[in-house]
Amino acid sequence: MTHTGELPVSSDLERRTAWFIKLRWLAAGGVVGGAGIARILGLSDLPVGPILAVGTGLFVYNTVLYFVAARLSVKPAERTWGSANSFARLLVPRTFLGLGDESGVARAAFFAFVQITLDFLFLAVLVHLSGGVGSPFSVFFVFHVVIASILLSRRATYLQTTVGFLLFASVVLGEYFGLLDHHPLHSVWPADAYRSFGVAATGLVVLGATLYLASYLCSTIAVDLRERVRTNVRLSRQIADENRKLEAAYETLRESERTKSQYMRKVAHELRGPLGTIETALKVLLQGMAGPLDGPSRDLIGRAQRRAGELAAVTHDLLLLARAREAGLDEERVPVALDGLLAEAIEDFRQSAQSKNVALSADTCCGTVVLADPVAIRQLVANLVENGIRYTKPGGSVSARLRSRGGCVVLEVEDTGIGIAEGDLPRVFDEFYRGANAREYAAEGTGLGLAICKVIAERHGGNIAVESRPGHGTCFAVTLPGTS
Amino acid sequence: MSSCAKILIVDDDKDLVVALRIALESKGYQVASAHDLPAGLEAAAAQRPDCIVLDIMMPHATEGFHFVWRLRQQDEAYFKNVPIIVLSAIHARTHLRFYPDSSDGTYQAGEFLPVQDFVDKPVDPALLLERIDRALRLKPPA
Repeated sequence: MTHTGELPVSSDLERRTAWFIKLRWLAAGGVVGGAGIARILGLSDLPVGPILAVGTGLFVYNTVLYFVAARLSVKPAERTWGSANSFARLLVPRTFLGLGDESGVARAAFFAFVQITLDFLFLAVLVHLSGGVGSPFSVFFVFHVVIASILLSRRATYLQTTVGFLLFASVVLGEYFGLLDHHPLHSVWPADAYRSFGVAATGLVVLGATLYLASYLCSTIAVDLRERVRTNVRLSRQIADENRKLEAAYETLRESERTKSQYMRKVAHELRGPLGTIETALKVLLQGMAGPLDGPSRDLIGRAQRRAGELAAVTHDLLLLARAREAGLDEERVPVALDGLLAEAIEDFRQSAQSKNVALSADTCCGTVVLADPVAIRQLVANLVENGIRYTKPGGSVSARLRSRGGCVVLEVEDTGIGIAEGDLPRVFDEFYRGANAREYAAEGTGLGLAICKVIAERHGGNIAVESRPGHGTCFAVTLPGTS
Repeated sequence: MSSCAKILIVDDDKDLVVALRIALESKGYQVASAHDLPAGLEAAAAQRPDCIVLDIMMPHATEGFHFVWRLRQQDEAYFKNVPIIVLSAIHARTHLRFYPDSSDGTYQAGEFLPVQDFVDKPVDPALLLERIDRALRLKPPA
């Protein structure tokens, strides 16, 4: 088998040749067994000795072919089979050329041609030993023509047919003209029928017509089938090529995503330290610890501190986003009881909800466990609850619930807040995207919280979805694979 | 207790140390500072502060963890008991923990605490003062 292409057509030819060798074991067995049985039953006066010799010869050369085929299948064909050996090239079906495996195909075709020629020789001997023009074995010439049309080019099939016909004609004419002995089949044919011109001519015409007609019909069908094979091979290769290109493009994209995340994380990390120090220093001033601060100075420092706080929040969220993205799929996951985690998150936000007069509740009765990174999942839950409180007016409510659905765990966080406009819904999980009403209602908010939620959900093999009615509220649903 | 108590700040961010020093001194604390692990250990031994405010990430990665470990390893009772407030919530965000880790790094009530409290960055000076005050009040008598 050669490996110049993904689908070496030579392997196809080799497979069929191997099948051909298998059939020959049966033929050899049939010749030897048939001669033996015929002799025991006294059905004919055929020369059993020579017929047994033919059968044995068939066994011997088929054994040789078997080993040659095994050797060829592991040894790549040399280039000469494709280019220099023009005869071998002539044997190859045209549809198999130009597929990048010419040496292998040419060699396999040549091997098939040699086998069929040898078979014809043995068959001619067998026909001669079993009644010449009247031999029932002459029918077997047709089988070889069929096999040739499957394995070889149309030209080679006709050539092979001609070789077979000439061998048969040699036997018939040789016996007719007395150049060869005649071994009559007493029980079937009159003893001197082979000497009749009519019988000889009829035998030759009938077999010749059968052989050429069979080779025409079979090679026509074979050409058509091979054309389809060729189309399939071409399409498969195109698909494989496209696949490879897509994979490469995907890898490039992933690499650039990774680089982007790493860059984002490094930048955010570098910004966080100095920003924190600025915030602390401004707070020291604002809290009057460095001396009294009044009037415009206090106002300006207050504004600076607020802006530094906003910047710190973005930096913090960028770090979270980068960490969520970079967290590998192979990171250690542990069983996380979501109900406990949700109850804790609700407690963390109890005070801020109360101070805003937003009712906060959780329905955590169902005892759900997921395999997860607990820190990330806690972040996801916190982001959704915090989001709900932020965009809900005083007197409203935020409720979280857990339920199992088809092997998955669904966490829903629903609020009675300002809602999200339909046009904004497809983009709410985009980085830095905030709907117009969200920006108007709450100045704070980095536009990264939901992006973080999405990355975390997807990293855990889950997803996040949103439903909203502007003015009535929003419901986020996170679906995570449950543990079995 | 508050006033006159001596606080050691161990943090490599010198600007932050200045800001915190101003905040602490405004409440009457005496403040000493160090900017890395060896200087921190030396200052703790020499000045015997009543409370240590400690950063985790210093020039050599997580030096804060090693500071706590080496301080608490010393035989003298003072080093085992001096309250430490860590300026980080790194234990809540990452898998980094104080060594030796008794269980999964979450400290249970009644369990020996290598540190007394955590104040996340960016530090709110009012919150830090509140936590220092509490740590000093809870400190076992020498």
